[in-house]
Amino acid sequence: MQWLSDLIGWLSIDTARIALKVAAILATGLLAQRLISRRIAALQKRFVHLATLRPVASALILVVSFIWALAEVGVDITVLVGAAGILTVALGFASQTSASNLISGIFLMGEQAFVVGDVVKVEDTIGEVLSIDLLSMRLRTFDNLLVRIPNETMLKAKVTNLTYFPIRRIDMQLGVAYHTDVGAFVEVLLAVADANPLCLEEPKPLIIHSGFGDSALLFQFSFWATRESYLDVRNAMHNEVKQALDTHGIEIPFPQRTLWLHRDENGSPPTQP
Amino acid sequence: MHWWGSFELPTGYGGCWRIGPLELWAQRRAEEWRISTRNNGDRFDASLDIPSPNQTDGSAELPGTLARFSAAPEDTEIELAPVLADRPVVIRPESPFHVAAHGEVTFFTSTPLWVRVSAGEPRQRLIEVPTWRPSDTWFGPSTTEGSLCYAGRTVGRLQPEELPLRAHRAATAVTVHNGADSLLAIERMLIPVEHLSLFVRPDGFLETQPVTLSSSSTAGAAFALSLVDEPRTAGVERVAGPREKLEQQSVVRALASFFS
Repeated sequence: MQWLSDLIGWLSIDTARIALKVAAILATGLLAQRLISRRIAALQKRFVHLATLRPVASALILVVSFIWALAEVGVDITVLVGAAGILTVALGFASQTSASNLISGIFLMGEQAFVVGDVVKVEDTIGEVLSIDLLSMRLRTFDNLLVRIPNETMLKAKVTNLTYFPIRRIDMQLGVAYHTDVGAFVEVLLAVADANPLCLEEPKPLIIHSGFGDSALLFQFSFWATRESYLDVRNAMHNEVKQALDTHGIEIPFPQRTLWLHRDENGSPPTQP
Repeated sequence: MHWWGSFELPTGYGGCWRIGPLELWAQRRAEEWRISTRNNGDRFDASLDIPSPNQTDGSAELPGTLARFSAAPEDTEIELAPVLADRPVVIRPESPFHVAAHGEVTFFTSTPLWVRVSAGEPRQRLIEVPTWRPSDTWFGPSTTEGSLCYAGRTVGRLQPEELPLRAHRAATAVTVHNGADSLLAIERMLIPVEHLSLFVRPDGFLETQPVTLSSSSTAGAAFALSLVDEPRTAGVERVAGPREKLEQQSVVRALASFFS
């Protein structure tokens, strides 16, 4: 039983107590990091933006645990804090852009103007959102290219979410010959929309007389489709309108110029001025 | 004899159904079922042809859109069943109709049916096709909020005898009760057909149970939807239950005078 007395004697020493405390703090920190990481992973299925917070949260918990453990050991953490402060300033200057991207990412997450899976237009780039990460987001363009856009750019740029709302309007610009019966032309267009089951009946298709062009009467034919069938409806309606106009003899004219020929009263061509 | 039910098709034989605008062919070949469909797009087409047993040669090439399914050697029976649309259907009266304060009105309308083709033991659904594909339409207070529906082309009539009956459509009575103190204008109505059951009448035509939309408020377009799972006419037989069961009275946005 001598060994038991030795063990009890050892445990009464401060060093051993401190060592146990440090071990407990580090173990608690590791456990907390694991639990929180798993919880965030479970919530990620609903809130995909949390993927960017997971490594940040894990690192923060581990650092705090480590500093707390050092404080228990007796290390003067004010020195550490001071050094960390200087390091932070240096890092801050070096990583201004990264920090801006990180903070922009947090704002973008909060706004929820788009999520993974949406199709967005950023400046001249159109693509499907693949991921929204810590510093940037990734798009897949329709010709299968990967585009990486920094979050700061996303926050500053005009971003158009093409799939946010369930239905979209398609605008078709048309020009028909000046001698066209406009009433009959409008009926032809509405019949084409009526015949296509994917073209929504409501909101009603709309025909706007845009103006009198150089070569043709200008119209805008607007109709609606679901976002899923947008491309199919757009293609089909263009083809069907062309076919219907051909069937009804309605001309889409080429650019035209009218040439007037003059002769004077003697039948001679006009002289040069 | 109805166009729906179980039909015996031994290997090497086929059948052809004509249900309104829809033509449907089924062939039983070795190890497979071949189902083909074609639609002439004429919603007024009231044709009805049901195949006699073993009517057609099961090796002939089929017109239309073909789908093929594996079949166990002992499967020689194919089943056709009528089902209602998989989305709500929007109908409209001939022209905007006003219901008096604390009054009610009943509209009679019909919606196109879908044909569900099944085979095997236990029955497995092979395909489901509309007898006539209605247009899509949006029903809601704005283009950002609402639901995707089908546009019913049959106007709501005030007398049941005015409603033309066709084998590929199911009739529904929609009662609108205005509990408010002012006139209620009706331009369009949403019928939640996915929650309705199908019944066959003694004359062979199909109908659903009646639908009641009640409002006790002047504001908004939210109505209490009431459904009883009992048919309107006597002597009918249940053919199919709802696609989606509505457990209790539901508040729906069912009337509209939007997009004006």
